[in-house]
Amino acid sequence: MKEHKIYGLIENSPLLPKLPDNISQILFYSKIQWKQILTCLLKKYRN
Amino acid sequence: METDIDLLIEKVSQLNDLNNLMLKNINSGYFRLSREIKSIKEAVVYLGMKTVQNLLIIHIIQQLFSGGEEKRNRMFDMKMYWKHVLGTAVASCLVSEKLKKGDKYKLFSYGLLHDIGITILDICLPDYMDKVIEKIFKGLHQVAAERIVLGGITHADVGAWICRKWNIREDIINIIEFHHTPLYAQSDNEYIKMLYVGDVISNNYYQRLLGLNPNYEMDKQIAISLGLTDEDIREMVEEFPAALEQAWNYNWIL
Repeated sequence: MKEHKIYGLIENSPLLPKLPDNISQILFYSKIQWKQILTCLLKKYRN
Repeated sequence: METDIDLLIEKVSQLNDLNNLMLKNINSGYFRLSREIKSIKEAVVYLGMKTVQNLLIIHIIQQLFSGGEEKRNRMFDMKMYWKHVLGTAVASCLVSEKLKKGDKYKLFSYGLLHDIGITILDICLPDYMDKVIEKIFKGLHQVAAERIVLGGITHADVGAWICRKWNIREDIINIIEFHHTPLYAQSDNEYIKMLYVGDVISNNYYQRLLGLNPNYEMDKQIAISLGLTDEDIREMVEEFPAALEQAWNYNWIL
């Protein structure tokens, strides 16, 4: 499906910030199950 | 798994500005924590990973998108926009408290993130954004004004689109995409509906401050499905200005 023209304008805008690599690494893991992480962390703290 | 979380915490800690800003906000008093939080690791234990992650995202977005507005003579008032964003976060917390449902601090952090599409539009397409504001001042609902100016899409679509590109968590994308149309959401429905109610309360409050006729009518079907009565809504509308002032007094850095 063709993308809406507004998305093209935003994507081509020089003003659109690029996420620095280190920031993406910190926040945007796609596969991590955050609930499991929290459970692990809580377990670690309780012990 | 523990290595992943240690890596995340280590990386945030290395970014001094972000680390300090996060801790300053978390310790501002708003979260009513029993003691001072000294590290991101502690924040995760007290507030939950999703809330901490959401707060990190909003701080990063703010840093990425800060500056620039002083150069332009704009219809769009970015300061008022951030006030509304904090207002939605606060009002959503009130909804959660009223219903005794959900994690109110997670809702607070969703509130701070829900209008990211407006930030993107303001930075990348300021002229379009000003045309939208012009139409709102003429009495049009924000969503209707955006559909006219942007050719059928809204800030909610733009926010969800950029978050998908950035690979942001699905629950955040849902909140952003459906906060004006919660009945279309396929998941996270309760949170989206609570945020919707918070958004309407905050929007109407700020429209009144701007001398406009508040035109955000709350969808009764959504309020009823949450278990909210007219009396509940009236009470929250009355409590909202004081709760918002309290949040401002905690010097939330936005």
